[in-house]
Amino acid sequence: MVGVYPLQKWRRRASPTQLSSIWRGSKSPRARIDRLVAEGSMPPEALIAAEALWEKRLRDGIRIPNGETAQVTLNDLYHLIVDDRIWRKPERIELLLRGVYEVRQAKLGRRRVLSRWQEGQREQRGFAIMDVNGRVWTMHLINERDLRRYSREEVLWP
Amino acid sequence: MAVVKASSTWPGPDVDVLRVFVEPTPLPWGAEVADEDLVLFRLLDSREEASGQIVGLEILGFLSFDQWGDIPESVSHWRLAGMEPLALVDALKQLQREYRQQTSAGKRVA
Repeated sequence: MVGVYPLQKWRRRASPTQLSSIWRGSKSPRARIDRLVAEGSMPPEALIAAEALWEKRLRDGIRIPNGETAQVTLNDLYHLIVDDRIWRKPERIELLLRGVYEVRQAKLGRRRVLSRWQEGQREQRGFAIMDVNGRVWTMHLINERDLRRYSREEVLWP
Repeated sequence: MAVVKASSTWPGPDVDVLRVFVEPTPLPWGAEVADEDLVLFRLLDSREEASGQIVGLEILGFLSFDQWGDIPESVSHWRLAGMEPLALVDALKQLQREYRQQTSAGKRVA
């Protein structure tokens, strides 16, 4: 149940710039998040919780097991939580990055990091794409079968 | 032919990831890897596997993407914001052309 106060609080926090489109036809990830909240598809508390988690755990980067630091800007966060399996559990961003067990070469210098981690009794798997500077472009939870589709990519680590 | 209303997000050339969603986007959905640079968003089944209807997709490196044959053919046309309804691949190609033009125009201005 979404209370009145959190919704009002969210409305005050959403700036006109963030609500506008930046490229013809497409919206910014933040604009989509704002719309999902306005339509009731995402509770404003989820957005507030994700931003709080970013402030506390992500803004300075996450050191992944190969020693490099993955960077997640606030704008990147809005892109990542467009996936409802991420916004429902935003802690998965950190879990995925800390659970990296392999780094592969993707196109144009990008890296694909493959990850697995435990959530209760269940092992989750996923991947993220990082650019040459360590910035996280995207991430998804996927199954074991889909992870095997990346076997053609060169292994960079370990 | 049926028309699917759709929206898209694109952070810009610095984070060149296009996402397209059927609107309103049915939930819950998950990601299915179709190709190295293409992820399909499908409804989750009872085992939480992304095996159902396609409700969106993600293209990594959209400005240079050319693996159009990997995008499943849709029985519907997709209407993206500001566009006429088109086959999904045609809509994406049009969007790519526009972004390439905007990006190269932006570079010239800079």
